[in-house]
Amino acid sequence: MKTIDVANAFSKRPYGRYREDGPFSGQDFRDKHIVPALKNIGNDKLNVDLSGSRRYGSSFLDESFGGLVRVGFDVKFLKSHLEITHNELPSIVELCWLYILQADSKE
Amino acid sequence: MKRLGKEARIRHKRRLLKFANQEISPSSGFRPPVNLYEIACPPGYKILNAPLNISIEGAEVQRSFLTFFELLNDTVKVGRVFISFQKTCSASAAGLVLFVANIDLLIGTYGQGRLACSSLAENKFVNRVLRVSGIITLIRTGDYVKLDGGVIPVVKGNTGSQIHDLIDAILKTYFNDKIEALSEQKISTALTEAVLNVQYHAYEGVPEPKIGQSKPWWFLTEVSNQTLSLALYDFGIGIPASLPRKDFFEKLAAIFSVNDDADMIEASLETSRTRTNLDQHGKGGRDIKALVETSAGAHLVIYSNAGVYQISRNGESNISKEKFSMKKPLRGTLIQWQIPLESFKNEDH
Repeated sequence: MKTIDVANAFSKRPYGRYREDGPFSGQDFRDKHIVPALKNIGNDKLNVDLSGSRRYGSSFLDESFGGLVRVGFDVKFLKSHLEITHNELPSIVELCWLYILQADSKE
Repeated sequence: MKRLGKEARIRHKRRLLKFANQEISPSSGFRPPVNLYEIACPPGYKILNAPLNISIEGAEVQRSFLTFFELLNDTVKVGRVFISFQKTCSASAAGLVLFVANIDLLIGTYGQGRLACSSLAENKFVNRVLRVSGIITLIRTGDYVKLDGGVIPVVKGNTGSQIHDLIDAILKTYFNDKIEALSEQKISTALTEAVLNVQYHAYEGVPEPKIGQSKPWWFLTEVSNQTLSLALYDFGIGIPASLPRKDFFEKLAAIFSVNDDADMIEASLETSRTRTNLDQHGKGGRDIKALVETSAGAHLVIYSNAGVYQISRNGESNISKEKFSMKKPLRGTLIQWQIPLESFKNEDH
């Protein structure tokens, strides 16, 4: 399994939805980290490990994860190839999947 | 109480005068009666008494507080003003943040030289908060007190990095960097989403105030009576003016009975709860409320233009909501969270 450690690979201080909101936006995290990793995932699985930060705003999470559906990833594919974890805050993980499902229901 | 002798009284008065930045000649002695607060007023300045309560809570306090700014603005337009805090007897985080923003705007518009102030209030608590908040420094120098640990002054910002710095300061100052993961997440997400709302909506389509920074917000936090207060203010157009500009407003108005500014604030906060396919909107509102809705004894109040909307969690699960109108509208939006420190302990993940 491949892992993206958000706090080390991206930032402990995520902020905002869009690139213009600041240097550590959900759009940037999705486009620079998750999307390239998922495109090359093959039959493997990607673990996005959110542990290491306790500062995820809804806008950041929605754009990072709900945004995957909006840029063309299928929910079925995401369920098979994406794992989201946080060692302290399982509620954050639930929220990420909720945003994925909500984005899918609007497609 | 022991009565001070004449010499001791003079020494005491001299210390006060020195504190008020007003030197007296040792040879001149002391000639009562003297109003120390007027002595500190430089020549050519008109004395204006600061409000008794630097606060926006309660209709009468609100009216007199906002009237003060109208008077201050009118007076600064035509001359120099010396603000006397002598009689001020209370100051809340929300009031202080509003005060600083208004002073900043006046300095930006008319220059720093038109304002001066006393550093003395008769009330010791008020003296302390005036000093800590940075109001005195701002009025005297036009500069903000830096955020460098120990105490947290009013901070003006417009970036995500600044709000994270503030969250760091809150965790260090009030929680000694030991806070439950869920508590940190709730505080952070409420503040970052509220600041994002300022960035997205507050200054939409209007000329920004002359304060040298794009889309500014002001923030102050304090702990008093074991309660954490967080106050965020922007000088923008206000929620009631920005909401009708949104493409989803018609759908929203069909669900909520929107008659006045308070209804508009409610509608903006409750969007995420509707079933109108508006889920992409209102996430910020949900985060702003979550800090209060999940903490026993917590209180959220949002003032925007003429509307006030407040949410209180009274017991384990009893949440009450109230709406009302202000007689004097506020420019922009002021959000104040008040959360008992006790509620941050042993939070369930």
